[in-house]
Amino acid sequence: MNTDSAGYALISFDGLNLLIDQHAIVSIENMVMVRDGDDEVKASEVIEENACEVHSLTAHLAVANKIDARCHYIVVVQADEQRFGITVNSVQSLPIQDPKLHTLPACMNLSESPIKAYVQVEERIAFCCDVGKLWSHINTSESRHECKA
Amino acid sequence: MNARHDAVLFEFTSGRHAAIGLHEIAELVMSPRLVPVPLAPDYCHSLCIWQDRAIPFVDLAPLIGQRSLEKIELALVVTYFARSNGEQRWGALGLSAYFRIVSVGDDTACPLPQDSSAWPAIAHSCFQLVDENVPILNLDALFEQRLELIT
Repeated sequence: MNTDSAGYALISFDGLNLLIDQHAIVSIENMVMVRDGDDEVKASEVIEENACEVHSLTAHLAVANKIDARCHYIVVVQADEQRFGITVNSVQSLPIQDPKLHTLPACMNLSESPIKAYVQVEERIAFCCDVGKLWSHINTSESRHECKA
Repeated sequence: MNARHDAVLFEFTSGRHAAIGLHEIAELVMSPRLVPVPLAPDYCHSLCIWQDRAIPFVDLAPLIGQRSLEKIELALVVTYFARSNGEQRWGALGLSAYFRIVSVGDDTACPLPQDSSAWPAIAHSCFQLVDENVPILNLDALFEQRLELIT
């Protein structure tokens, strides 16, 4: 499976590398917007000029019960009717031309998972993530285990 | 006539063994590089980076209701041909000790262990070794489908 490298952004958090559709990104905000004046930030916050929920996710895509203060940015994405933010350590355009996307092996491919494929980016593995399914996953009870960022 | 065949016997968790055909071994990897896959089932939670390929890594322990290996120091890279299209594929199995080669006779055939509903879906057959029933894995079935874990 080949794809257009201009179509993906590479985001990283908690040691996980995700590829998301660049066109789904609405904005990239600085984390200071949710950290200012509040040390007890909850997992759901509001970006004032662009109201939406913001979540920190773990490497297993579980919703952390606190915003991960180690992250530098919030990537705001639009998934169908829903807009939401994810805290990330870094966000960049996919740094390789003509990446080869590999479908996940059948034994680990769950129909409801937002992760369907991966690509090798230099020494790293990045997983292609459907932001619509990611939003559905974030709202399932399974994603909201007691976990700390 | 009691035919005998060589099989690779490996321990996947303390005291529990499974086997594969000798021709299915590709390489034993020490300290394999594993990349966890978000939301993947417990028994195949990671990709193993091997010879610039990312191949599925399977830990059989969760299939019998046991915890995954805490530290994965050994991975047995195996190869098989996908039943769907005849393509050669690779996968990796987590080992808790070094494997050994055993000679298995037809007269040791026995029923599959009853400790997991997964065995009938992922094993060709089974043989008795001392007092343990050892499943012989069907690698295509193990790697080319997602198992429902009912233990």
